[in-house]
Amino acid sequence: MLFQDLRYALRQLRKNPGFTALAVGTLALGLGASSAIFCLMDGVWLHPIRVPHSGELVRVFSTTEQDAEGLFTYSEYHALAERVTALKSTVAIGRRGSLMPRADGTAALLLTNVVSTNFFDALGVRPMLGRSFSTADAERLRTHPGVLLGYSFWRREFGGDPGIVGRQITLLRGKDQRSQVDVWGVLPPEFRETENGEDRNLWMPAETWAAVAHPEELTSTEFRWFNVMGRLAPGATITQANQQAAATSKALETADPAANHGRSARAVSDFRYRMSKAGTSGLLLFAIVGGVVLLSIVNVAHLLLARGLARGREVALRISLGGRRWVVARQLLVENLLLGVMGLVAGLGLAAGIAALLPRLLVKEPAMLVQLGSRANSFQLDGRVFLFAGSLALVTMLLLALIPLRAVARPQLLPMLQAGGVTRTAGKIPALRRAAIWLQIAVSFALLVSTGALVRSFVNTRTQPIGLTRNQVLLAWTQEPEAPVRDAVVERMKALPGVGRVAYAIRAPLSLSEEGIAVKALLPSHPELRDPVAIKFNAVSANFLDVTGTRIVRGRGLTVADDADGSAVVLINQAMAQKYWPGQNPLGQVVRLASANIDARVVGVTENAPIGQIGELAEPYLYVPFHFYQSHLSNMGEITFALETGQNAMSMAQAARQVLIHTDPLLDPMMMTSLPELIRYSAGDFQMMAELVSVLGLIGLALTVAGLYGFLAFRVMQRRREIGIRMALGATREATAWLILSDTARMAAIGLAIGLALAVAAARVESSVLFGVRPLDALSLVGALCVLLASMAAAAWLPARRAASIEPMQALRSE
Amino acid sequence: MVSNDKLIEIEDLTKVFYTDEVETHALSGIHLTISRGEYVAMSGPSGCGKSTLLSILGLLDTPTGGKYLLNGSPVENLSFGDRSRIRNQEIGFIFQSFNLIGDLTVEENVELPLTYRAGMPSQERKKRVKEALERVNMAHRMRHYPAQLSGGQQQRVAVARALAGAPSILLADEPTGNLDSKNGEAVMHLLTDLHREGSTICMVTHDPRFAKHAQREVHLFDGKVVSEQELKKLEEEVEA
Repeated sequence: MLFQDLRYALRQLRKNPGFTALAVGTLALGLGASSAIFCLMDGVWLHPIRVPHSGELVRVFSTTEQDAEGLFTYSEYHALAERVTALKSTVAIGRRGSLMPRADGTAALLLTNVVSTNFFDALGVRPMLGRSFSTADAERLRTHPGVLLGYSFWRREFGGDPGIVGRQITLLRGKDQRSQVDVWGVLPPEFRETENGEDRNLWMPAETWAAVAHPEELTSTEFRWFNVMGRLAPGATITQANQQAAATSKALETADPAANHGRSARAVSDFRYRMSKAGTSGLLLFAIVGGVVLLSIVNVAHLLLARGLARGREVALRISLGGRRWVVARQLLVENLLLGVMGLVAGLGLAAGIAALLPRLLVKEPAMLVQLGSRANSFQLDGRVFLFAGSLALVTMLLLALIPLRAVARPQLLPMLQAGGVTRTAGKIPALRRAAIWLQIAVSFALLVSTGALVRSFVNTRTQPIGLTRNQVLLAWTQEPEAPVRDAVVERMKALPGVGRVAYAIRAPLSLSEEGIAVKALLPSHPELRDPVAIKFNAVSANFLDVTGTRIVRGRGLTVADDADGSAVVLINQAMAQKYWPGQNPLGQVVRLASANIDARVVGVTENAPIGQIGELAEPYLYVPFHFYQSHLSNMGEITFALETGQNAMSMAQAARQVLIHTDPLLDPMMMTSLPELIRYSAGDFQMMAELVSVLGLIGLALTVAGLYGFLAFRVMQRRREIGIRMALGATREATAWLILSDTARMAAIGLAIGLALAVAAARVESSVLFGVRPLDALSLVGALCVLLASMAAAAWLPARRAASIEPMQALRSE
Repeated sequence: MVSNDKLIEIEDLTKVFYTDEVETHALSGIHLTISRGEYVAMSGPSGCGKSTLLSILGLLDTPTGGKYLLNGSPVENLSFGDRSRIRNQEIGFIFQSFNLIGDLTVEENVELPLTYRAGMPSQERKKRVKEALERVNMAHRMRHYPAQLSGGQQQRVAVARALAGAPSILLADEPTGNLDSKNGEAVMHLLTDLHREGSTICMVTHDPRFAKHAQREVHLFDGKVVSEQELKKLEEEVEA
């Protein structure tokens, strides 16, 4: 029976190629675009770690008032592993860098993950070559340090040589100390990191890190650098894990109040963690994708309703001949199901095409002479995307199934049979269809307003002042040399042709160094702050802010004298002045640097400049003289030289690198890029959102215009007789065209009013992803209004013209 | 009631329909004059061309050949806009299937042709609508929708709509065709009353009982005007 239904459905669809193509095309557009966007979001944010049973994974974070996703010390990890029984197989993972000397005397920086020895067993990751380490290997690893190689690093550095297993590689510690480590194996290509898009070179157990690098980083309470995660124990809940993590943290605070005061811990499922990473951008993209899918569903619903009316007579005939309603409904449902499947197949084809283009949508990494590795987002139509698309298609089909079911549930047999399937009078537009058109216009309007705001936002990242110069500045990130060597490097760089000022700091702003580095400070003017607060900082040469273009807005900048004698002076940014000394003069205020126990005086206030990325919320920031940092604060062992130049900064990179290598081969930069490149890359999220939302906005607009056109064309057909009557009574062609246009205008007005409400709601979500644009930006609103009105006018023009050209005699005779 | 003032003059009017390779002569050399105040019934068997002739008289269709003077002016070659204007001001239609618009109230339906008259104030329109509906005894159903009325009531509303514009002539195409005999008679009486009050009426009907209500009967057969005797003879020939 089903086979017969299927055959009949196929014949029906084949008999109406226009309808079939339009319905399948519309579904494909909605399903394809949404699947492709899901594919992108999955690759960037949502895809779970590629390990077995990833749904069991739970992340544990150290929390303070300022930080909800803090890291743990290695000893805290051990305490959590022991006491949080709701988790089994708890592992630690810390991110560091290792230096591997090259034959020419330079050294390559390897992105290194330091992990607990149970890491690979616990997560179920099997090496592609060799073997991984386990808890049983801990003792041996202390005396015979070993590592695993990341797949792409192995391919790049060792040409994919399978003989690498069992061999040794050399790692540097400081300038002179070299250590040999055994290569135990190579990880599979699908496991590159626990964060999407990351790709690490080296994986080493904590025991190896202690043996070849810094053992104190595993024992001291100063070093919080471990992420902790585990698998939920059978029968346990996240709430239990959460409670146990908090209790463990409390116990640690009691045991060592000085190190752990004000600190707690929380557990969160890996899924929720990933959702939070997607954040507002993800939410917005999901909402927009939902809007586009909705538009395509509404369009197909219009088509089906129109077809339903056209087929009303057939349904009435079947039922009047004794057909059971369920049998007739099943026939129509099979037809819809077939349409849905065809739409899904075509949509997946479209999604595959878009997915292939996605890497181009992602912002290219900054041009670098030396780079650490590349991001490894994979955009594949895997089972997850198929599941997403299939679920979406199923929901779509279920919604669309309501249409034939409704027709069969309330068949109007007599009128249909008598009228030959055409209503005698046009009648009002059914509420559902009217609402569908309003919804289409509303969603499209809100989409276009968002598109306008996000595009403007992206343009602003390229044009508006950001607290950094857009001039050419070359940046070279390397190991920190002794002061005389550093000064020699500066002099040699200044001597390079085309180079202006040369400055240096620990790190350049936006330098892909995540959230920046912080120092603990007390503010004597705020006695209520009993505990030191963590304030992000940079140590800079006197001219660094001049070179990077961050303006002093109050007081003075740092001077060579400050830098030379290691004066205890600091610059603060406007956000810090506003937070701690609002309405007061911040100049002369004291910042007590807790670890050095030195009072530093505020001598100037800088404008807010981005630290991690453009568009971030400005937070308190300190600039200390580089010499002071070297003398009194924990040394990071790294430095970034900034070379001001009038030409393309990257064209100077090779010469600058040679200066560093000739001075000391170990100064070979770990990364070289330019400030404009970092600014461009940092605005990547804005660019990606603008591009994606523009594409979706256009698809939404196209669907709305097509839907509106289809609806109006059908409506003109439905009203043909009414139009004939009106013309017989004296309506001119202009009046008839206006009948359609005014109908459209009324629907547009209501749709736009709803759209405005939607845009207001969307604006509340959008505000955090905009740069230099107010959420309900007037230009975006007016622009969206103009585009939509023009598009709707275009969509209405042809049906209006068709209505105006109806011959009254023919229309009246048609019945 | 009949004046010598000629409202409609038709000379040698022809209408040919072309469909694919078939040429159908719906009207062949019609000569017809209708004077102001006259009540004319056009009758004849199905397919004789009476509705086609009425459509041409009502400027809903154009003739293939011949002359058509309305109020002394030639109208056969007018533009669509001019024909719309004349239809609106000079002609009142009464259709067999009433042709009321389902989503407009009785009042709005009657007002509809007046809304196409540029410059007619709303008050004037409302006044005319009220008068027209009172004339057909339907003023009490002003706010109703057509679907809430019986067939006879709907046709009375359609008559009111035709009257509201104070046209020169009422063209009625089988006005009783969709009604039972009682309602049919009532509509015919209404038309007779209107004629007594001075309206010019041209009605198409195939029912001889209703044709008798008119002052003059024009018989059509195969697209030609024939006398009553000729019609009988032709019908007998067809039956034979």
